[in-house]
Amino acid sequence: MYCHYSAAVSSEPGIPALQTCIGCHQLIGGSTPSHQAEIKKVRDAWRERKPPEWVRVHALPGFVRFPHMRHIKALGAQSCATCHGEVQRMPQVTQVSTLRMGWCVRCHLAQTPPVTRDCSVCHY
Amino acid sequence: MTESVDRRRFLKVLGVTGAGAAALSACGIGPEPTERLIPYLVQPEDQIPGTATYYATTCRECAAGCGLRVRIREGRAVKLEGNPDSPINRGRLCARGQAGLQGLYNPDRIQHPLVRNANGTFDDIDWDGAIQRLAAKLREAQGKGIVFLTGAEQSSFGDLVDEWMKQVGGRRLSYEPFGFEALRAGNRMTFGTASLPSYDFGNAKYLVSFGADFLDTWLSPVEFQNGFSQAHAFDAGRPASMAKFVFVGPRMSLTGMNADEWVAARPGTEGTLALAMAQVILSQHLARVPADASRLVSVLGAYSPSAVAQAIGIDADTIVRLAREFARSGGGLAVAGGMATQYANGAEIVAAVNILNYVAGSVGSLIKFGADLAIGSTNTFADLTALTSDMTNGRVALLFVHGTNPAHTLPGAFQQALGKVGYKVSFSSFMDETAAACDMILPDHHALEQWGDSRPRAGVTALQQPVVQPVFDTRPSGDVILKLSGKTGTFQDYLQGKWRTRHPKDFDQYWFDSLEKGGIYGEAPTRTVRLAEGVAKIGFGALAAPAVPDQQVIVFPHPALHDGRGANKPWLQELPDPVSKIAWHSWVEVHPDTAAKWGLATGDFLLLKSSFGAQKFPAWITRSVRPDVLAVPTGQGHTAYGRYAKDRSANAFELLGGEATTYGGRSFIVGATATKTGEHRRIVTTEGSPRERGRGTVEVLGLARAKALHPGEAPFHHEETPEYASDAVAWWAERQHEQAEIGNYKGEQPRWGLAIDLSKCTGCAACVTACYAENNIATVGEELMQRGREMSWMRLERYWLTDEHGEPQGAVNSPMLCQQCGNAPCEPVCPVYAAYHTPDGLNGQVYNRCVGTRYCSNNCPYKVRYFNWYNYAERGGQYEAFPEPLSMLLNPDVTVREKGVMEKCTFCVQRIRGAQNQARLENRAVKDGDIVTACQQTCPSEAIIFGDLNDKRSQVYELAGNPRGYHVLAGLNTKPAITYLARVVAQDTPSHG
Amino acid sequence: MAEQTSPVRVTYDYVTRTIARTLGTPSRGYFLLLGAAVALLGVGVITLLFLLRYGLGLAGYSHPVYWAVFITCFVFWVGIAHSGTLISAILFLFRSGWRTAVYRTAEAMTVFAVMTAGLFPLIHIGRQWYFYWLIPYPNERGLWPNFKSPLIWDEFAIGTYFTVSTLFLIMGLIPDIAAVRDLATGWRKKLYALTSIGWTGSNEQWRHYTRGYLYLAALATPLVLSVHSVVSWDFAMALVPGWHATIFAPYFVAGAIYSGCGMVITLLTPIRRLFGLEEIITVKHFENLAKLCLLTGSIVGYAYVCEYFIAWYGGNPNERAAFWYRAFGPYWWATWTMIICNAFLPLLLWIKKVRTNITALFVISIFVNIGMWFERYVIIVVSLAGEPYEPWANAVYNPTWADWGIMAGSFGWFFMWFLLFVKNFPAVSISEVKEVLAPPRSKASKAHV
Repeated sequence: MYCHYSAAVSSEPGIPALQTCIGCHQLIGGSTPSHQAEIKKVRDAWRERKPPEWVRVHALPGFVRFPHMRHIKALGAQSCATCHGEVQRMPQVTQVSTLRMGWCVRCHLAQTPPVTRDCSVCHY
Repeated sequence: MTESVDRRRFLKVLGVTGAGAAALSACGIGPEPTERLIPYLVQPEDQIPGTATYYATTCRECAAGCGLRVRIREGRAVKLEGNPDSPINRGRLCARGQAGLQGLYNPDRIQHPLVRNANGTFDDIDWDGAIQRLAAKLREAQGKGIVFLTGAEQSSFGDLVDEWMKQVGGRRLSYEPFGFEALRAGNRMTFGTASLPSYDFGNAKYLVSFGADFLDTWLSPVEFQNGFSQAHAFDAGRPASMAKFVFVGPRMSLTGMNADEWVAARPGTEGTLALAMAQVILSQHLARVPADASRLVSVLGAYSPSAVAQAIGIDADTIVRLAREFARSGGGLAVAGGMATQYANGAEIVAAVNILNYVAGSVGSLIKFGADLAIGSTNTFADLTALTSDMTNGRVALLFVHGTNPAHTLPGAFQQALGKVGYKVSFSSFMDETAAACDMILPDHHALEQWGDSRPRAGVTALQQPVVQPVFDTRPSGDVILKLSGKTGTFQDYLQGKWRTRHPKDFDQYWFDSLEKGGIYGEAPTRTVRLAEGVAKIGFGALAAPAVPDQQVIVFPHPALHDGRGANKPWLQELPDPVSKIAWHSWVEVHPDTAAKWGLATGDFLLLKSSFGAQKFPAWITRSVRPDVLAVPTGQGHTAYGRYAKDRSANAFELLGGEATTYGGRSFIVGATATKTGEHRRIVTTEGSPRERGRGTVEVLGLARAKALHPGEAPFHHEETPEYASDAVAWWAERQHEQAEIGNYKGEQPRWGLAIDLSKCTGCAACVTACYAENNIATVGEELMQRGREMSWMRLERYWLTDEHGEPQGAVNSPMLCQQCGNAPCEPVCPVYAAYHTPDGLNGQVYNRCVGTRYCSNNCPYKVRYFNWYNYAERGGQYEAFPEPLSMLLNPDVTVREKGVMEKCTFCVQRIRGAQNQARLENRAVKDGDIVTACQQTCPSEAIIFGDLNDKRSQVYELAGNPRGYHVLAGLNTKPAITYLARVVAQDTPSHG
Repeated sequence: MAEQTSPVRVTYDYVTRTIARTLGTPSRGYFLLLGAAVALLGVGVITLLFLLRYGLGLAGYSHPVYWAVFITCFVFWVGIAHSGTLISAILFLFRSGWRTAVYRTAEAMTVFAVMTAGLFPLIHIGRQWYFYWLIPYPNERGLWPNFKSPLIWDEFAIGTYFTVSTLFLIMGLIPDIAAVRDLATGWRKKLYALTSIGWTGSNEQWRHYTRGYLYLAALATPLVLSVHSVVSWDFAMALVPGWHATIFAPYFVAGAIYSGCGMVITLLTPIRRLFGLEEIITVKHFENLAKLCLLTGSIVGYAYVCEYFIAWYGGNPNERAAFWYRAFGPYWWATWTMIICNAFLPLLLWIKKVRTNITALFVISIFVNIGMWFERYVIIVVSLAGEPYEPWANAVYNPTWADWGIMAGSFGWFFMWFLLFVKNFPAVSISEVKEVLAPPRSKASKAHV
């Protein structure tokens, strides 16, 4: 929520600006060497004013709309893990859920009361 | 906007975060390629990814100075909308305004400074180099004649240029191809003031337009159209509502189409008619005539209806009737403009119309001097011809051109004259004809990229701020000029400086407010005018129709392309002309009788040869033009100006002379010989049947009948089921109802609906372009449009209204879009549920599910579904609709459809979902008015209302119950969600089709 | 075949030999034909590749004419497919002996025609690579096709028809393959040995065989009516003026059989000549086919009259306009081609001279095929183009090279299969022809039962 600050208010969670990363990693240097190595990259990038290139892990096709704020509103601020998994525990972020339509729909129907499965809610 | 990342990285960021606009992957199979995300270095504080921010600025597509609200997503301008705070356009926008975006992201923009080299071609040059070189040229040219030619610039930029020219001993000229010299001359003759008054259409009770196309090209179209629809729309709520509108002119324009009566006076005799009407009013004491009008008696004596009827070409009774109606309405407004002010006797015609207004007492009430329209202060055509001769005689050593393209609008003379100028510098950001002939091009920022302001009328100053990062390596001309004139600071500073003088104390607050509102909107004090001394001596003798030996050819401004400046924007090229419905090429309008005489068929080429030039135009045969007149639009026939404009059709300006009229204007009527070339082309038109043939697509009511309607009445209610079938249908309806209660469909759901008032709709087609912009609709180009492949989700159907002789008396314009049927034929036939019914009553269209059997379209009685025959989003494809950087204006909230997919209007479902999401965040229900479709938002005449039909308090619900309401093809029992309100015409026996 | 006076005496042995002869080494003429067919198919394949790469825009479509030549061909081929089952199944049940000589060709034609027709729905859709979404299969999204859509009915109708008619063909072939097996040598012998699945011709086998064949015939019969009815509903279920008519099902079925018989004649004439089957496929057979044409053609003619009458009598302005446009609009030529070929030409068949003159029949049959193609063209294209409910949205449609390319391909595809078939399998049923011959020992022959 601090990094992806717009997730709760907008459809797009947003990619945190490098400034945001540095905000913490100025101080947090990481415990293990590997961590330190990674964080160093960020710091160097900031020094060179050259944003790093992140590899996109969670991608939806262009014809799907996923308004993050609606889901956070409904499931609460801690609900990121429902789809993204325990990111904070991941040494390297990986995709834990299929993010396929059947998966979405199943979750919609599992809610009480079931959430709509109308196509035009996500596809337009 | 913000000190943000540099442009290239900026673009990359957009590429990713704007993923919403990504095309459906060609096959959808296999893993997506690994995407790279490039974050901002510093988060721009006014940007929330995935959420739009709006900035107020000013539209510079024409001189009207409408206010804009620009929708920005991730740093890209994705949509232009009118600024509700602006008193000019009141939140509305025309097609040309909408298309401003395609100027900003136009693929043919000049991307960096250019300078002509020895062998005549252009070399790239960096800005500093260019400015140094220019400074040198400037020093050389000092004293040898320096001229700065601008478009209509009543703005701080104009002031800056003036100051600079004073400094270097040059002079500035402003030039508009369709100027208003006649208006100014005429006003001077009658009232002794050369300024253009403001016209109050909204409160008029009777309207007569002498040639003025105030709905599309004249002065301030959006403002006037808004006012017009207030006055002319039928509104049962208002007593004696609906001002009758009479159009006088040889050709029926968009404005003419909306008239209740068309008086096709012989060209040049419009003034005579005005005088005759004035004469009747005076002699019959029909109005409380101002005292000093007595001086007119002598003048008007000669213009009794019987005396002039012959010359005008209508019968005397008509004149008397018009005069009576005009005076008795107690609020008659007559305007002269367009064609009527572009004859050799244009000024006199204006004077005549002024007199008519004066005797009817409209001057001062509906026509207010004081809040003058600034465009009146541009230089006259005579000044330009003077400049041209100076240039030819080598009296101009250095010429700057900014915001105008005289080489196109004055092809012969100016082109040659340019050759004689020592050094020519263009600030154009497009390679237009003038720029192409210049020695140096210093591309200006687009209006949406730079600071500026504009003073469209006294009391109003519209502010213009940069809303996006510059797309290319261009520079604000203001900055360049400041640098050249050795001043420090940027144009922004200069601008703020100017504004500071206006309001020194707590300027920052003032500035901030102005930015937010988009300008300062004051009321200028009105001043009363009296008849000038010389009024009795005006030589109206010249009013008899000028006898032209050959065919008379009228050259009129194209409603969308105007003088040609719109021709490089595919949206405008693909937008059918409101009258002819022709797109992508120009044409010549020929009356059927004339055509029969010459054995001419629609599409046959006519060679028009005037004493100044010759051009070929394909014929469009229509009754909307006088038999003794041919009419051709401007706008096409560019020899440069980018891929969309270049070498397309013919340039009508070629036919026109280069010398000024007596009143310093330009004559747009010319004698020409017309010869059939034998060539033929298939016209690119969207017109199907021009007659409605009583199919129930449009309904028209006479005024009396409409007034007699009382609530609850339903004159257009069609008996949908015959007696014998009613039981069966009732039973079936019950089952349907049960079905509609299952799953998603049970519970309280809105039913989205639209109401379209045909008595307001003028057919200006702003909605069409707005729809293109909002929904990423592809433009398909001339070739495909000719084959009926246009994608326009919203089309304007123009059905002629004819009198008993079959002569057109205006037309009904009906916007046809998906009706979102409650009982939709398209849904059951789709084999994959790509077309299906949403719980909130839309006919959903799931693009990514569609396999393209096209059955839905076959079964759609309204034919409002459009198929992607090619992949219009394909990079470098033959039919690519969004070549870089045009793709930057794609709306990220709407999927770009791939080939083989059916698409159609879904009431801007993305806006519906957006509003619902927002409401949910704020823990409230969606309110009426939260959701505004793109077409509704832009409609200058406020003819379209969107809302929830299940909400008894909604505006659309109320309109749906209006007795004028009807459903198109109701007999098919499709239960459309769109209610059309019948067009009302002043004659009581309307006939359509 | 009493009235047939033939120079040679047609014996069991003669039949076997003549028909087996059709399987002999192919002539140059045969290879020329086959080559031509394959070439046409090539044209179609290339066109299809273009369509896949660039999109359907290459074809002549224009708003609102969203179905055109492809669907026309689809219906045309489905129609062709009809007489096959009719002749083999229905006439079999009616015990009409004359069918025996022609039914094999008819059936083969049926199977290949359906194979051809089946391609079109795939070719004509916008995103061909997603055709499988039309098939109901359990998937991760939990989505199913819309069983309310006539297109899905079509899918099932065509699928069923293809399966059954193929079975029918194969089953009928078994004894004959066995017969030629015993004459053949080399790889052919292996092939026949395999495909005749151990047929020995024992009484036991014959008893089961005839029973099974009978039931299969009974099963196939309703298909003749159902398939084209369903196809017709693609149109009848839509509200397009000119489509939305209750007469469509019988009208289409009759038309289908009409075109089918036409095609059978078109195919049999050259085969008979090429393979010298004059003694086996006699004028009698042609005459009977001609009679069938006459019957169905008359029904079609009646349907035309009916359509126009109802359009007028129904009083619906759109219907009236649509049919006026059909007859006198820019497509009048197509309409009148169809009416003349389908309603008037068959009337010639009242004349016995014409009925029994093979050349005349051949020419007529060609016109029947053309006429029936145009019938579909008129129904589909002209109805969509001319008078939609929305007067503003009408169009003039012109096919392009892509349309013709695919159409040519379909003919190539059909004839390729057909030619391969007649060279490798008995084109006339040996066993059943024998059934209707007078047996050597003087006994009542089945033929006269």
